[in-house]
Amino acid sequence: MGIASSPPVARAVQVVGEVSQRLRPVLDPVLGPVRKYSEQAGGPVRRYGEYVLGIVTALGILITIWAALIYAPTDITGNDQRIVYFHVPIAWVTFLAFFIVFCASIAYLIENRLAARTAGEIHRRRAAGWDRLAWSTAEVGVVFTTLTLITGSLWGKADWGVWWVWDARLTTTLILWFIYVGYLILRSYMGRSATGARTAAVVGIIGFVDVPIVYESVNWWNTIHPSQFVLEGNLPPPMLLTLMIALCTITLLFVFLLIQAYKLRSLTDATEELRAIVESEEEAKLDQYRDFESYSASGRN
Amino acid sequence: MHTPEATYLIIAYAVIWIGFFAYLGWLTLRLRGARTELETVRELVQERQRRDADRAER
Repeated sequence: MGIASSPPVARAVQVVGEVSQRLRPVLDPVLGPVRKYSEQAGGPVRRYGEYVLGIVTALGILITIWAALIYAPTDITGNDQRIVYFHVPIAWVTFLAFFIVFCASIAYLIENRLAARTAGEIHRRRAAGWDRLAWSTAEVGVVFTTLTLITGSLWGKADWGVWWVWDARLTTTLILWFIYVGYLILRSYMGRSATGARTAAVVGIIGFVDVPIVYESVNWWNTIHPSQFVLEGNLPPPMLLTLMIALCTITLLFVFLLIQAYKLRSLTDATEELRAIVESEEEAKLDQYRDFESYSASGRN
Repeated sequence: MHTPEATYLIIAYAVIWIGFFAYLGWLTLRLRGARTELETVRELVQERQRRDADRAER
């Protein structure tokens, strides 16, 4: 029996499903228009939106590079400190990505349970959508975590003189990277099967536990990694403004990449679904042929 | 330790943008491949449907 179908997990999913059913009358007025847009907005609207997002992101990148390299004042630690204007936003967006994986995994388990209970096509389609979102976000999240680790290592070399130390923040971030790389390996190994999706959803939920640990690691343990200096309000206004611009740009870039990854997953799913139909038809025809062959052979005998 | 010429800054910026654009390029290539594959399977299905329709007519 897999972990996803174990009684405690099944019970938890059932409780969450019941709570979500109760919350539905409250949430529907809010989620309704969003759902309607995502289901009905035709190709041209979406494509136009994507172009606009791409252009705004490209402009944002140029503005952020200008702000980080020219506008922001030089810190006493030298020019290498400017790595922070990308390192910190990338790390924040990593948390956002894994939070989306966490939410989408819960939503998948709920919709999947509802689909099994009601045999409803709409729940099955929604479950597939949440699963696709979790998978695509995890992929983009791993890219962001990788860049967080690399830029952090470069900043560490510039600031501490070493590429890596087994510091709490660095170690927990590395564990986070391993968790979601494991998630992706699991997904590619188990494919599009329902068991694969359920198991991945459980990993996506449990794996998120590491995110608050990474965030709080600088408070819980003695570390050489800087604390949450942005939230402490110690940053001069030009530096804070640059950091906020970078955060907006990196978030836009994340959304843009996520849309592409989601589109890819949707296309792959559609292809595999279509191929499965073709193969099942072929199989049925082959069965008919085999039946006919055995029937005519018995007739000959 | 703090270098005025900002060597690590340059490396970090290069890694970030090469990383992002390499991933975007990889996604675009995979998207193109997936579109081609979907089109091939769709054509296969349409061809089969046409063949079945022809057979039914006969």
